[in-house]
Amino acid sequence: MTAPPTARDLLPRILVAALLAPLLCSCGASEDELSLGPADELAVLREMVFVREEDGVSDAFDLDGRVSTDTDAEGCYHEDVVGLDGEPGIDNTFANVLPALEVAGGAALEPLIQASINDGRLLLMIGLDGIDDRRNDDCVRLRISRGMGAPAVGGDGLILPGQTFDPDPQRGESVVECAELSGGVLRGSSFSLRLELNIFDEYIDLTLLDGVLEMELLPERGYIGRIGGGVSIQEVKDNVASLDGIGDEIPAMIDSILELNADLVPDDWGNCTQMSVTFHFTAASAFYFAEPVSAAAR
Amino acid sequence: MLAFGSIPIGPFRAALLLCLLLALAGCGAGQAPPSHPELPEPALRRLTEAQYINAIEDLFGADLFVPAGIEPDLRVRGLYSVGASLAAISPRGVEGFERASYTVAAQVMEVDRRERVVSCTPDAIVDPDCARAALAPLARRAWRRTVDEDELEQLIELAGASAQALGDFYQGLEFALATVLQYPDFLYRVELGNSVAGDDGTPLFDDFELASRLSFLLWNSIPDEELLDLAERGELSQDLVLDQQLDRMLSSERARKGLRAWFADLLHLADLDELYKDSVTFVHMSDTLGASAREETLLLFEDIVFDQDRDLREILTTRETFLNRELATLYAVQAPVREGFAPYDFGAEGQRRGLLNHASLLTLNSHPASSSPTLRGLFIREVLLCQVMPGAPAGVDTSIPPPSEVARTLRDRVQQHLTDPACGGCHRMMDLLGLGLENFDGIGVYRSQDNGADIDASGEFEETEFANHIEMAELVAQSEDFSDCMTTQVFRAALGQAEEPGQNASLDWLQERFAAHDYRLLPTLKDLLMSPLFRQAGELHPAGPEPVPPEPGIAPAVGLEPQLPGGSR
Repeated sequence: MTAPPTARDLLPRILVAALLAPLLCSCGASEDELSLGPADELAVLREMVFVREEDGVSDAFDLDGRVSTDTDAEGCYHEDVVGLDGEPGIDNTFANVLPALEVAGGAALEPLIQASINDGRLLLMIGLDGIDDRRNDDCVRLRISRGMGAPAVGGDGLILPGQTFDPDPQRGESVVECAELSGGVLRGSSFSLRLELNIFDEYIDLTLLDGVLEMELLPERGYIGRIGGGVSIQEVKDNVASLDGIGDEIPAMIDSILELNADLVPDDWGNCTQMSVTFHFTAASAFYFAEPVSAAAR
Repeated sequence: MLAFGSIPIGPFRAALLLCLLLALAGCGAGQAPPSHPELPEPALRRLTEAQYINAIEDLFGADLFVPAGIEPDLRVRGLYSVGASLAAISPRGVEGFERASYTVAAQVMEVDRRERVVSCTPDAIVDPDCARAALAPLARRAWRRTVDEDELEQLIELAGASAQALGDFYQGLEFALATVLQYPDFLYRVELGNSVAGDDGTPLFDDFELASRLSFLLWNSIPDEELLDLAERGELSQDLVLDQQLDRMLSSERARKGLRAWFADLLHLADLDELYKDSVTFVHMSDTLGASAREETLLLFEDIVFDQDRDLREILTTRETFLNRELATLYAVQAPVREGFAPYDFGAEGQRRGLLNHASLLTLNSHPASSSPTLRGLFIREVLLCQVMPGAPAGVDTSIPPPSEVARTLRDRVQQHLTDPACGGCHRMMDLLGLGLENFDGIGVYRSQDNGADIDASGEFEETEFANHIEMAELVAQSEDFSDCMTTQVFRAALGQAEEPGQNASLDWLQERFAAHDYRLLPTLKDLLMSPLFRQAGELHPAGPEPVPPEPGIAPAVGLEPQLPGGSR
C-alpha cells in the first residue's frame, strides 16, 4: 500500500500548479466571443523550465518597469536582479523559492511540468495571425489558447512537432492585438490570464496579470522563448485553502512563502500582491482541426 | 515538313504512312495478343502466408485465430507471387501446417461455430451421410476442384474412425477437416494446364485452374462458389462468361484486397512491419508508423485504380493522398481527420507529390539512422523501372565518410562513390536519382537542411537534370520505362513467374494495351486475363523445371501427405 502524501510531498506540486497559472490560461472571454481555430501560424509548447537566478543574474523580465532595491517599498523590499545583458530591474522572485521547494519535495520541479505537457493537461498553444514577414512585422495578432487531446510523444521525450489538436473552448484564449515582431523575435505583453486548474481532482481558478511573452521564430517552424508574469498570491492562498484533505500545515507554509516573496503590485498598505515568475520554453509547429469537434461529431 | 522520297507529305499522311510501316514491321498489331505466346513451364505455387490466412477466412469466417509465420514467403524478382513458384515447405513447415490445421479445425468445431460447416444433425457418433454433407462442399472449396469419390470416402472414413475412437461426431469431423487443410491441393496451387488441349493442341488451364488463377490474382484467396460452379460446368473458360466474371470480380470489394496485396508485394510494404529506426535520430518513429505508412500508400493505390480509374502513372505525381493523424504529424500538415484516414491534398505549395514522397517508401529505403540516396535510387531503378542493377563488387569499401566541415550533407559525403571509377558507374545511376529525395529524412520528415547545411536535391535521370523531388517524380512518371515496368510487374504477378527473353512480344502487347487504356490498370489487367497469355499453359517438361538452389534458410521441398489421427497435435 502506498503511504498518503505528506505536506512535504505536496507542497512543491501545489506551488508548481499555482505558478503554472499564467500558462493554463483563459482570458475570461465568453464562448461566443472566442475566435478559436486555425491560426496563420500555430505553435504548441513542448517544454518549459523555470528561469532561475545565479549570482544576481536571471533571464527573466522587468515586469513592473522599475528597478527595485532592498529599501524600495514599491518592490516590497525585494532587490531586483539583472538580466543576461546586465539590464537592471529584473523581477523573478520565484527563483528564490525554487531551491527550497526542491529540497522540500526531494526532486526537481520541471518533470512535473513536463509530465503535464506530455499527457495533454498543459497544451499551451500560441497562435500568430497576420504575419507578413517572419523577421519584422510591426503588428502581429498573438493568441494564446489551450489545446485538447492526447499528444504523441517522440523519441526525445517531448511532444512531437506538427500535431493537430482541438482547441479547448472552455478555456478560451487570450489575445494581444498588436504584438511586435522585430529581428525574428515576437514580444507581446499585458495579457491577463485566468485558468481552470485541476489539482488533486479539485478545480481551482487562478489569475495572472500583466503577462509577457517573448518568442523567437526559428526556421522550419521552431520556436524558443520566455513567458512570465505575476501570480496573484491571494488567489493562490484562497484556492489552496479551499482544497480538501491537505490539512492546515500546507496552507500555512504556502502563505508564508508567498508573502515573503511577493514583489509586485503593492496594495494600499504596501503589501505586494503578486509574485514574479518566468519560464523558458521551446515550441513547435502545431495545428487546430479545421472543423470544430462538435461539428465533426455530427 | 516530312518527305517521302522527294514528295512532301502532310501530317495526316505522315501518320498514316508511319502506321503502315509499323504494321508491316509487325509492331502495330496491338489489338490482339500473340496467339502462341512463349509461356513458362507451369509450376506448383505454394500459398503465400496472406493467401493461406485469407483462404481460411473464406472457408470458415474471419473470427478464427490463424497461426502465422509457419513458413516464410520467398521473394523472387522482388515478388512473393513469383517466389511462390519456387517456395518449398521444410520439414518444420510441414509440422507447422499440421499444427495450424488442427488449431483451425478445433476452432471451427466449437459449438458456436460448427454450424458454419455442418448443416445436418448427426444421427449417431458415426454418421457417414452427415459427414459427407459437411466435407464434400468444404473439400471442393478448399481444394478448388471436384473431389473424387475415393478421396471423399477416405475423409468420411477418417471422420468416422476418429469419431468412434473419441466418442463424438464433431471431434471426428475435426480430424477430417484438419486433413483437408493439410492436403497439397489446399497448400499449393496446382495449375499445370495439361488437362485441356486447345483446338491446335495448345495446353490450356482447365476451368478449375482458371478459377484459381483468377481468384488468387484478383482476390488473393480461393475462388467463391460461383466461380467453382461455373468451372464445374465447364463454362468459365467461355469468353463471354469469363468476361462477365472478370467484371464481377473486379468490381468486388475483394478485388481491392487482392490488388492491394499485389501492390504491397511489389513495393515490399510487408517490410514495414519490421522497421528498425533510431528513435533518437528520428523522433517521430513509433510502433504504429509502419502500419500507418503502408495504409497511406495502399489507399492512394486503391483510389487511383478503383475509385477514380485514373492513369496509374499519376501515383508518382499526385498532390493527393490519404492521411491519419500520425502521418499528418510526420508530414507537418493539418490532420484532415481525428480518427482513421481521410483524403488530403498537399496543394500547389505543398512539398509532397506522389508515392515517392510517402513515408512508406522513404522509410523502407533508408538506413536505420540516416537516409540513403543509394537505396532510394536502387528501389526506383529495380522496382519502378524494372532495371537490374549489379551488386557492389566484392571487397569494395561501401562505407560513407562521416560528416565533416567540408562534407556536411549526405550529397557531399557520397561524392566518393560517384567519383571512384570502381563505384561511380553504378552509383551515378542510383545516387543521382536518390539524391532527389534528400529533402526527406530516413523516415520521411521534410527537411531543408542536413547537418546545418542547405540540401541540394538536384540530380539526373536518363541524362535529364532535375532540380528537386517534384521534377524527378515527373520525369520518372513520364518515362516509358516506368509504364513498361508496371505492365511487367502485372505480368509477373499474373503468371506467377518472371518474364523470359522469348516473351518480349507478349510484354510489348501488354504495354500497348496499357497505353491504349490511358495507362489505367483495371482494363489492362482485364485484357491480360482474357488473353492466351493468362489462359494458355507452357509445355510441361517431364524432367520438371531447372532446380533453383534454395536461398539460405530455405529447406528443400518435401512431399505432403494427409496426416492421420494420432500425429503430433
